[in-house]
Amino acid sequence: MPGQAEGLSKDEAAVYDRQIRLWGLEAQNKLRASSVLIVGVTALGAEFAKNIVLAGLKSLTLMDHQAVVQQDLDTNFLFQHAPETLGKNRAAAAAGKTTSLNPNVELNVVEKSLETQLNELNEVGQEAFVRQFSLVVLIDQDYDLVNRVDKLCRQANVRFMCGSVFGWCGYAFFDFDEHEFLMQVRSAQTCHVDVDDVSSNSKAQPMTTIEDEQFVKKAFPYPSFATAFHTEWSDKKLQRKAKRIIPSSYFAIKSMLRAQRERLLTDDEEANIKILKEIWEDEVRIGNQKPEEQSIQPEKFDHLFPPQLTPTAAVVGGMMGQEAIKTLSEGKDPLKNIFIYSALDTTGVMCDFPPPK
Amino acid sequence: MLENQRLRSLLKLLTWFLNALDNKTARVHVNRLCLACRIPLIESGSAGFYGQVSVILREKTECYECMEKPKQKTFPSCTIRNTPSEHIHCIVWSKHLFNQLFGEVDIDDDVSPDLEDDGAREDDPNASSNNNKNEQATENQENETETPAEVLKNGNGVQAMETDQNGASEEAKPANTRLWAEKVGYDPKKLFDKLFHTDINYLCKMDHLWKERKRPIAVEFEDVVAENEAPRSLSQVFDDLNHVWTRSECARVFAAAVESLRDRKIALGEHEILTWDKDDDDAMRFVAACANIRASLFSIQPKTSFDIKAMAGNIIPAIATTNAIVAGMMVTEALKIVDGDLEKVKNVFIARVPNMRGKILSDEAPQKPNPKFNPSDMTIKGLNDKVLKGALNMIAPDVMDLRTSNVIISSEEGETTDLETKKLAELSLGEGTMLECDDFVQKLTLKVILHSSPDLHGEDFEILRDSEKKKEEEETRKRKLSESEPGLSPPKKSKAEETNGEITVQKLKSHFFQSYSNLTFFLPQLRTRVQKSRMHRAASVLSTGDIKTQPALLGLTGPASNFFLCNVYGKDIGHSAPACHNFQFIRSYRTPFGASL
Repeated sequence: MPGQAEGLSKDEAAVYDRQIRLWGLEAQNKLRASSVLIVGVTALGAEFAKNIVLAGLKSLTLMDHQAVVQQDLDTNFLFQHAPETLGKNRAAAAAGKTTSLNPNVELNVVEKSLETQLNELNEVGQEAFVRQFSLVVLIDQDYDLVNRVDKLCRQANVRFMCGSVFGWCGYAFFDFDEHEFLMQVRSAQTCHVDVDDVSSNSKAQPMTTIEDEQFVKKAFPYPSFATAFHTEWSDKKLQRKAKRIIPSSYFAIKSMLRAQRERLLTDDEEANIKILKEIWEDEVRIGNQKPEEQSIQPEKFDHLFPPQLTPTAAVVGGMMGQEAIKTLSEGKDPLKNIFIYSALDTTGVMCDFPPPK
Repeated sequence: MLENQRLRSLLKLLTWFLNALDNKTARVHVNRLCLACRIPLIESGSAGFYGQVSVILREKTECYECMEKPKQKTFPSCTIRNTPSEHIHCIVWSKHLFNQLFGEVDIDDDVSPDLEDDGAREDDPNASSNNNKNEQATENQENETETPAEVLKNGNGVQAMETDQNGASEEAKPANTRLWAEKVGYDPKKLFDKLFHTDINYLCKMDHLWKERKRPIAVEFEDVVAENEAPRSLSQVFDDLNHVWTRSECARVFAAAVESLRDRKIALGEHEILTWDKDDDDAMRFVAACANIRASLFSIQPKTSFDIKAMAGNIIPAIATTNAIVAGMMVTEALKIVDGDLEKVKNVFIARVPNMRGKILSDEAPQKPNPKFNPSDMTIKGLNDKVLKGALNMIAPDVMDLRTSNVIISSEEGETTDLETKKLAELSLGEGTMLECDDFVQKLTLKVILHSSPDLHGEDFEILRDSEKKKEEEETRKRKLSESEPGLSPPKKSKAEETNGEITVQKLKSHFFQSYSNLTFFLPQLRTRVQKSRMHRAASVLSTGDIKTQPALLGLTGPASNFFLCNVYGKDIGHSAPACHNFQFIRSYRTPFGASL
């Protein structure tokens, strides 16, 4: 059976040669059958869009209702760096360069907010809307909308991701509830490690070669956005663990999310920093930790406001792209479920919240 | 070519370098350049889901050449020629065969049966893979179990030699493989039958090889082609990268590839040759077909041409997501340097799974400088091979004793051969001797000062790093030397020689890592052209454009060619995220279609 019969043309095979070598032809075929919705064409949105368009999808929908402002022009590489770009719709302004990255991907532009879109539909219509996509991704969106769409996607059994970059720090959240991945089967032979050597940190390699690795399809429960970000740290079992598993940058992110949810932020950055400091102290306490022990302190909170730092967007967008590719291609080794990157203290941490029991 | 002076002044404008290179030669080159000019270097790499960033600061951290790098895998030549046990052995053999027939003939890369193989070595791939090919060859010569002559005394062996006039006996020398192929006009059928029938039969007769191995099975072209009942057209076979070709298909691909390559070779000039390239369809098909046919004879599972391409071409897959993460991490480190937070710089790696604390990007403080150069023979040859070419990565050094202006090592072959076996002491090279080492290929000149040391014995050497103070002392000594010893006067006996009578104890002082004042760098071609395919990571980095100073981004493809250097001017960073509207640069992502942003 020749290669074409499996769907990938010879030209596409040449285009995607390197990545097929990494994740295989089957995964590539799953990618090219996928449709993705990105809501929010920000610096982070651009990074993520670039990554998955280069990976090769069936279609990508860019959705945004906002107009390009100077700050977008300075941080978003998908926009033509020219005065006439200012004022254009962000999704429409990004279309040209996004298509040029990979013309194999069908690109749709929706110049509308997701909230408006959903409010025009009844419950059945809303589910049908998200079901058009294999993956729904909300970027730099409001807390309430993120929460609402995550719930909707869980009902409709659609993969969901969201992420934000707050100045120098950013996070990504993955909800691939009950979607399949390939998991390695560890047979008795592959765990051939001498017990005596474990303590001496030996680098004993499994005796089997790659051809002998076996994988099975397996799905996992993923917690919802609300559950993941409201872990009960007062739980006795978690009290001791908390210090080890919560990175300092988590509290900065959590404080920003809470300030968003409670609608406490205004245009006054000074006031915002003050509010953020109060919330932060509360959040650190909820996490059973001491404010003075945190590596990110309130005097750095001015780093949490716009514009988005592009290296942070690159790292967060890269990690989001990686996990998107894994879930769409039903690939290996998914990472659960909140990724946090902070350029303030150079930490890139994958948190599994709430911690598995 | 840029004037040395101009380049130096240009480099002085830069605050840091970001490396997004794909080969060791170029990395070494930039590493040295940055060390010499005291410019912080941010080195990066990406392979599949893995990626890493390391910061190189002169005198503060280890440099690129201090870091341990995995050695390239080599295989003992007898495994390649006589007893392949893995598919990669057949691929290596096929690539050697390509060179024997169409490319540059390398005497070490023979493909015909190795008569001197005693078959005694272990076939453990882990043990053999690290062995140096030449060492292995030497070992075999020393083992006197069964010499070629003895093989010939065997009844079978004699018969083989007698009946086989054009066969292995004549083909033992690699140069003859090409001659023979030319004589038969690169006839694919004749080539096939020699490689996979005559030679294999010859191997089978070396009984000692097959005591504990399965004997290979020789085949002939006509029989193999006839194996297929429902043959596909060749173009169908070529396009099928994802299924293993049948052996009959391999034989037909082999024949077609040999004919195309022969025609191309003939079209070239008298002394011109073809170069193997994984992206050259004919060359790739030749290797894929040959490797699978050979594998089938040795009962090794064949592979798809897609897989063979990855193995033969040593392809390291690069993907956009990893590159984006690496680029982001590079700029994060660069920001620290711009802010003057040199103590905070980290080396960062992308891990496959989070560690106990959840870190998926694992960071560590850079190691201190650490030259790990292997002690070796201190003859002139040792100095050339182990110190200059080995530890100091020079390619073709010319070395002159500065006191006498005597040339002790020449890159011209044969010019200094008679000196090679002499010890340094025999040429009165000792304490305080300054050697000027010039590498025309690298456009590099450095001075090496020899010191004796009571701590080292035998023929050990050590590349010293030292303080500014010591450097001053050296400069003084250098002046004294040149004052007290005009070029033509006979060399004064060194201190060590006077006290010990002979110098076997040496310390080589390299000016590489500390005293760069003597280093001279040239960069052959300075271009402002951006190399698109190499620019993916680079562009991501530059898209941040938030730099108050002027960083340079340097990408080289191949040794010191096709690189670009550009300055980026931005506005002050301030405490919040910066903007980049002063920043003009061609952003170019690796797109499959050559489309650039």
